[in-house]
Amino acid sequence: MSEPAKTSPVITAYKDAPVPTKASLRWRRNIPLQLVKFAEFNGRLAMMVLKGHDDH
Amino acid sequence: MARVVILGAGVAGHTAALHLRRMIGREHTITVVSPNSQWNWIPSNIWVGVGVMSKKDVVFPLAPIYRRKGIDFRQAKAVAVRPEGDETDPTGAVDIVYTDPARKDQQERLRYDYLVNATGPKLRFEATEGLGPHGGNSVSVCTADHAVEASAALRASIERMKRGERQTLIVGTGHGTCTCEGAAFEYTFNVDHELKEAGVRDKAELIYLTNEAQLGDFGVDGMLFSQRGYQQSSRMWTESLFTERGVHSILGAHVHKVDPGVVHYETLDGEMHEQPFDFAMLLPPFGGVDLKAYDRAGNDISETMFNPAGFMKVDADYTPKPYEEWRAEDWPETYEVPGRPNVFAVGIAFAPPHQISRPQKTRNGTMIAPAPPRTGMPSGIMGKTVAMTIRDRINGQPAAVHKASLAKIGAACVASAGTGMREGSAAAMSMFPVVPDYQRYPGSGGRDFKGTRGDIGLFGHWVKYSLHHLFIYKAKALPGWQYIPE
Ligand SMILES: Cc1cc2nc3c(=O)[nH]c(=O)nc-3n(C[C@H](O)[C@H](O)[C@H](O)COP(=O)(O)OP(=O)(O)OC[C@H]3O[C@@H](n4cnc5c(N)ncnc54)[C@H](O)[C@@H]3O)c2cc1C
Repeated sequence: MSEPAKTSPVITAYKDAPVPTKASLRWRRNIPLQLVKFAEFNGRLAMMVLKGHDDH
Repeated sequence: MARVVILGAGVAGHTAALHLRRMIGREHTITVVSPNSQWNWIPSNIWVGVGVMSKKDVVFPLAPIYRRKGIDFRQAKAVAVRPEGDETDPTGAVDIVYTDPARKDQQERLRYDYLVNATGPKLRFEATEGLGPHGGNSVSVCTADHAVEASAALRASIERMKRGERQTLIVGTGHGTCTCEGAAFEYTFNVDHELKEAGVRDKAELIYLTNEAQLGDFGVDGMLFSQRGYQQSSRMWTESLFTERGVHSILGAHVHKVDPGVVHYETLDGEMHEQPFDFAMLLPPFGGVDLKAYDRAGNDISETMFNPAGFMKVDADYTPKPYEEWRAEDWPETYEVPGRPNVFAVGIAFAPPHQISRPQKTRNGTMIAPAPPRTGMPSGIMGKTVAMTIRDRINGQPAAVHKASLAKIGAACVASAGTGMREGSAAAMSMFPVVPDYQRYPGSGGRDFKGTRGDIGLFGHWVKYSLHHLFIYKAKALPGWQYIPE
């Protein structure tokens, strides 16, 4: 192995990344909205299961 | 009467065994060979690894379930496949060595009419010097026991932070060719959550070290989502989460060596680096388990049945070609071994035709190439699909075949980022299909926007938590288990 490089490749933050606002963070814990998302996600899973098998 | 032998009792093998048992008459035998007496819901090892679940929450004994279902269980490991039988009998056979304490190290040759190889991964810690919990300098969450050890190490680190010490924690991939980045990602954010819960987040530098060239790649060449009228990449989405949570990252890394407290790694630009740490959870690369294959005369034919990494070759197109020429159709559909219509390989055990993410080499010739993930949902679907093929063939349709290509199957990856029914969170991703089909879905990252999405929130924790209970219920074959989808 050669000498370790001097510059650190550790990225501490992505400056162009869209960081959520306080309101977005609150919505992520908002029970009624999360219930809707829960239902949506399960719907997508069901779609995948149905499309994934050729038949039964 | 047909004899079906299934090697492995993980997601793929156990699913195949349970479905086949309900699909075919009792005059046919099903034998499951697996070296572990217990079933493990591997995704929840992440929670064991941070101490929010114990080992007993994620494992249960297999023998009582197989006894109840009329499946013959051998606690043993398969060591050789003899698809043409041996000098005394041309019927296919597998050589097994018992790990069952009552018959430890005894050998037996089992004859089969149909064989399913669902032996999963060999955890190749030895590929990186000093990697892993077996005499190495890092911990793992790949098995429930590894996760218990990881949890103890994490707790010790948290205790030191409580005493005012600063700590560096690294979580990620321990080799340039690892897969399962999603598991490392998930563990990272669970650690982040636990550090906050313990009130010591400000004392920790938490670093995600990965072989992915960019965040959000996950070994599947990233994803494109359509959200609020815009196309968003999984890269941007993941970078947002890392920035929000203050988690640092090292990208495109191949770990050469793990010394006590120091990781030595190379990045895509060919530079060598050292990263000191106090706690490191690094996944190993996967290979196929140690299985040999012999012809009737006893000659070693392993090279014809397995790829160099030890995965079993099936109905995929393994012709070497440049990344740009790889196609969705290269991926297998039936999981049947060419020329051996009664042998199948499913789950992690089958040889993928190529990576999904672009493989890269550093100027020093080091390969940094995330291997394609074969996650739980597709593994279960493959197991069930092969069970249906075997059912039909046993029932007198020798040409019957059922298909489930990873280029047509979707997958969900729910990466928990903290527990709690009101304060938990998870990054929930779904992709359809797993292997992008750039011809069929041009302009949307090779996938269907309807099935490909990423979202973060409490609902993700609920999904993850319900999957834990549903899959353990299903694996225990409790009433109605067959209606729970793979
Ligand atoms: C930490 C972690 C977290 C994960 N999280 C997720 C997740 O959230 N979602 C998801 O979808 N996937 C997840 N995965 C991936 C998932 O665990 C795998 O996709 C799945 O287990 C693959 O199923 P399998 O049946 O191929 O292998 P396994 O489930 O590993 O089963 C292999 C079986 O073969 C047995 N075996 C081994 N050697 C032999 C032998 N010589 N002879 C006979 N039997 C043998 C083993 O004992 C085991 O029973 C995770 C993986 C890890 C490591």
